[in-house]
Amino acid sequence: MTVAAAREADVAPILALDDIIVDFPGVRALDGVSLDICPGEVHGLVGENGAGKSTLIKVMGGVHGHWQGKMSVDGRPVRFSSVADARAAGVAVVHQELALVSEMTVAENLLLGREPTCGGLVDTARMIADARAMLARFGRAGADIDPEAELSSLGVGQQQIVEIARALGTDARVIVLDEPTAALTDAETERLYEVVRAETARGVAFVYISHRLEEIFALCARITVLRDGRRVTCRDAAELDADKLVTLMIGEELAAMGEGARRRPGDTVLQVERLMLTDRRGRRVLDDVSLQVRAGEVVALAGAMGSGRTALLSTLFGAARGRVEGRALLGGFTARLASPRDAIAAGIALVPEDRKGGGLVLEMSVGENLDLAALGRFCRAGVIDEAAATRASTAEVRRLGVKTPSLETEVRMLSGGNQQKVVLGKWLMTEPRLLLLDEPTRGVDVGAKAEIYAIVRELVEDGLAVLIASSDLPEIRLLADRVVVLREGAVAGELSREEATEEAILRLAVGGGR
Amino acid sequence: MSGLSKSRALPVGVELRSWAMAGVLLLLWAVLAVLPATREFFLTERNMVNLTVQVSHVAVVAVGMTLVIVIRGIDLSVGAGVALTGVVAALLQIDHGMPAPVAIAAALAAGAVIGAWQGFWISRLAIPAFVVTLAGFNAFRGLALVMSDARGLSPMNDDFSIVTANIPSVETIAIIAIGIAVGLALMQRAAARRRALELLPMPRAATIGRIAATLALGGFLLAVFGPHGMPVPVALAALAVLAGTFLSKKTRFGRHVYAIGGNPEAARLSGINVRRVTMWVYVFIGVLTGVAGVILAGRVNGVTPGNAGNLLELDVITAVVIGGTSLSGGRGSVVGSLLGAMVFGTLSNGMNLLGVDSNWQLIFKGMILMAAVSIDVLSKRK
Repeated sequence: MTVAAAREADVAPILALDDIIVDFPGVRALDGVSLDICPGEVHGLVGENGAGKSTLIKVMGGVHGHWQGKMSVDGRPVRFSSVADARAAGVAVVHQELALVSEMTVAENLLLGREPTCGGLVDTARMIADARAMLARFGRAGADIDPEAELSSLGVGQQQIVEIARALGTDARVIVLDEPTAALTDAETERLYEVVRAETARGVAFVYISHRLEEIFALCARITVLRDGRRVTCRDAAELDADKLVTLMIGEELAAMGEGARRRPGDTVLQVERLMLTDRRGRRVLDDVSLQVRAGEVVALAGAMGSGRTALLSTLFGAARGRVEGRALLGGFTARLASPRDAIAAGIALVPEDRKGGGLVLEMSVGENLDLAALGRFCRAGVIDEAAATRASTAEVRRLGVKTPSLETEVRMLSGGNQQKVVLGKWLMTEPRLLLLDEPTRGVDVGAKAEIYAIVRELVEDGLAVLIASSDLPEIRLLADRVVVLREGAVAGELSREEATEEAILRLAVGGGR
Repeated sequence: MSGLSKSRALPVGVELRSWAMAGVLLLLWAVLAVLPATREFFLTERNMVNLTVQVSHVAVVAVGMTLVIVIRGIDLSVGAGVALTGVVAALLQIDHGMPAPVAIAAALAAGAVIGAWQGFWISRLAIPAFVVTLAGFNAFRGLALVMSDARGLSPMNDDFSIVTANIPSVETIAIIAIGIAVGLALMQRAAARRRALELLPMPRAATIGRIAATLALGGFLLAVFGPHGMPVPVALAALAVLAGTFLSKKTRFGRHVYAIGGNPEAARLSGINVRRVTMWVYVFIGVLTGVAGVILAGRVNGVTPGNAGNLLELDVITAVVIGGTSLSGGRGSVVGSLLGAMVFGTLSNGMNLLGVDSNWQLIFKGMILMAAVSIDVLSKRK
């Protein structure tokens, strides 16, 4: 029975969420989202970073228990207070960050918490046999995995298969797959499709989350689009195409922003020559990277997760851990890359990927966060000139349009977009020549996103050199003058603004195959 | 967002803890002033002088411990450090006949060396502070015993009494009066500056509370120390608290300390030299440990290396934690720690006056520490 037919026959949904609201300090993560999952369907869930997808699946999976609204399984109202609750009701979430124990074997992981026993002792032989049967659903891709191998000896793709096999093995009726193919090869991805289709034939329903829209269209019958914590729409996939979907995801506002004015870049600010980074385990994270960024130019770094985008930015900022070879010239002089202190002194600023991890001190106020990196400018003999610091911070708050009741408000009270502006402002206060932006709009609402783009454009027009790492392709297309695509730590290619279509970027990022 | 109430728009969280602590302190005093068993003795000039002197060395070390705990560290070695620095001073005085200023300077220098030693392991080699200072807890006590051949060193020479003398009455009154005036003037200036910089005005209650607290504190100090002058240990504690407050609130170093405690990674990425700041925080508490060692040596008129400063680390950590400094780092205030030390000292003093058995006192102290940490943890979990 097809999904459409199922809905015509008014098959009751297995899982139904109605008007779900989730509040975090300073931000409403979900605002009245509804979603229903019918037996045997693959339901696509799309939205930009920060749209609320992860929060929604945390609610479904029992990870996040504080929400308002209604959720029901088979029409019975439920409220999961733990992952185990959700599993017992037949809802399993396969998170992007795998929830496996790397010190245990594959079989132990697959049967964790429900080990077959014999007289109170774990029946190892049966456990291995069960594990093998669970993996067999994945055909060759699964059969290649040795149930007795320690999990840490497996590649990420194989670990992903183990995680999915575990969810299937619990007889889940709704399985949420969060970016399941991010680390899979093409063959593994194909195999995953087959498994998903086979399971849907048996009535299992999937919620499928992916940034790769072609996967969504290949698998899903219905698609729910989230934006800024709200459900924009839920439609049959047949009514949509990739362009329409992207517009729904980013909103008319941003879609209409279109192309910026052509810029005329100036002198070379940053010249990276044959940069290598080897981490402490001897793995080569950056492999012979050369590129340049000129004044008044935005260069974007694209590439898959782990391709070295973040590593390149932190190496340039002196914050990478490991051995660095090669050099970076800043305004023609070799820059010391030993510490962030050196980098700041050389006129480099980095807005890090994770604003709560590396950007902000949440216990501190907006003002204290803003002047933290530039504090030396406001000090005499180590004593802070608070009047000067306050005046400069106030000016920055006004320039960036940070919405905060006061400079003294603790920064954790602000919304994600305003927090991100504080991080940006903190770095602009150091008056950099080169601004490194790592995922500058992750977890930021669309309004703030547009404002941040406008700020970046303004800065570039004033002659700042910007190097931006982003996994958000529309963002790259909107901002970048040139795109450097990284693959496995090396430069896979460089695209001009005109050449940089999403398809061209992806092709370089994954190595031509797909 | 602009709809945030003023109490959330202004960072008064830590300050609220201090007000609450001040309230607890006043409540305790009120109870002890009324209880039949203590009312004749507690709220007397003599007992208040005693209480403040007893608390002084705890408060001095608590100032340093506040910064240590704010950067997510701990220092278990301060009790042993007090013994070691005390022994340094006593040996120079008794065995070598050095004048008091030299002995005192040597004790402070020894404290700085202790701090630098521990700071080295903690900041350079990233050995957990708990382990490094636990090692110091044993080693410094042992070193104090070895250096002194395990004998009690006493008495100190006569000139060492500068450490325990009273500042004369007239000077005391003058200093306190000037202190009140300066305090009020600074508040006035800060309010004017807030207006000039277009910051939100402080809530009225906070302004009135601060003025009232300054006047009440001044009045209390005048009443207790006016007649016979202020003992030097109390003055040293006051100085340490003022210096610690200035350092933590007004200097770049202090800002860096809070940034490291709140988010070490963000601090590093902001170009803060995390290692150097960490190092100096431990040197700072080392010097203050030396001050406490000198105060104790003066008060006891000698040093018993096996006992001096015994369990001081627990009193100090308890004072800091009940004063509102968070063990998870990034939050805390020196003034809160002073109040914590006063509350803790008052409880000891009160239990002594009530004739509570010293073993039971230990049990109560343990319970108070548990309660304080639980409040800290639970208030974050909400």
